[in-house]
Amino acid sequence: MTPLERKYWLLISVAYPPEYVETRGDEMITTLLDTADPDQKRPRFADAFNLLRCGIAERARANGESTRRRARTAVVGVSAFMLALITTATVAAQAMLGTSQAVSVGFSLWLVPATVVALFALRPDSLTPVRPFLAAGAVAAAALGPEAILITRLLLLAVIWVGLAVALTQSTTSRRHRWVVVLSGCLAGTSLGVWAGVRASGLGILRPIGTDWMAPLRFQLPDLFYWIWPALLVGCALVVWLRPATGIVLAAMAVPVLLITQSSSDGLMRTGSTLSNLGFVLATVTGATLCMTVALLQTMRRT
Amino acid sequence: MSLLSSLAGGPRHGYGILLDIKEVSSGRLNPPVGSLYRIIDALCRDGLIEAERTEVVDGRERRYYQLTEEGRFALADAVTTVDLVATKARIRLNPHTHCRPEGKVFS
Repeated sequence: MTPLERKYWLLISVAYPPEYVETRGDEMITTLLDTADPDQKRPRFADAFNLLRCGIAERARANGESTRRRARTAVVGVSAFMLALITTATVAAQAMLGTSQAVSVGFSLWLVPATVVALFALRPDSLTPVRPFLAAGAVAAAALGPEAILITRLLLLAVIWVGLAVALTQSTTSRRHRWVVVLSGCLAGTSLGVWAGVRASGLGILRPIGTDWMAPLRFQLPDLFYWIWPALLVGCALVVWLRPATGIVLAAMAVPVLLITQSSSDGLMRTGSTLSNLGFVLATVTGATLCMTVALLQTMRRT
Repeated sequence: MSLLSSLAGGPRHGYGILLDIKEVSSGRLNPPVGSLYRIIDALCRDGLIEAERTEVVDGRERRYYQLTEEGRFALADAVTTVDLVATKARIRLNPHTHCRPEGKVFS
């Protein structure tokens, strides 16, 4: 067996289900070797990507539509849970450390709960299996939220709370809408009340709110990276929703590349926030890895 | 359709199908191997093609595929549809070559 043949076997064995490899593997290897250049040492990137994509698609097909649905649900649910957790942790850490400087990390993550809300509006049953995760996220946000007194964080948490509450209600349309309206009103009222309180009183504990509450809305070049992360995760969730195999392969390749890019760029351009960058990167990697692992396990699981 | 068209000329194995598709399309179509076998699987499931025989050449397996009767009908149907669409598109792209000038009498 040549090294190229061995590599193709490895690739096919990883990508395709064992039963498929048993019946089709030999034939595919023959065709792959026929199409290879005479001096080719390793699989071409396009071939490798195509085999991985088709292999995962074959696994999904073999496992049936219900598995695809579970994989999509898992990606959306776990993404929402992890990002809610990351955001809450970031917000709480900032509050505990007494940081008054606004950080765009948490702010940009509002995209994710917003997407969950949108997905929930379109497919109300999609989040049912992950309700316990969402409940845990909501409880964590509720428990740690009041510590994060800055107005921007409060608004951020409002979005998360609304998103999670909408996901949790899981009932008829009218009941869902009622919850959204009630929660939005409560949280908007609280936010405005706190902001007004800060402006009116001179309370030390509330003073940081007035410092620079618009800061997260300002953009600097490196901040774009913070927007790429949630966009990537949301994008991955949506692509996985539409084309599970392609989405998972893309996510597996894009996340490390972006991670390296962000780390090097931030290291050069944002010397003052190394710690927060590192923490965010670690948290994001954990979240992204968990999302993809769950999605892969769900996709590969036999029915 | 390219794959069905390729097998209309007789049974072929995977690599043979790839070469034929590439040649017939003047290199415009070059499906990767993974995608080719996905299509083969789907067509087999739909009963449009079937495995004809398996050969072992240099210790490696080659499976030949052929069109079924149903596959022939499906291909003929697809060709008719594509032909109609292509004719219409040609007329729309070059209206002057297909229309007679008004008032002129052709003998």
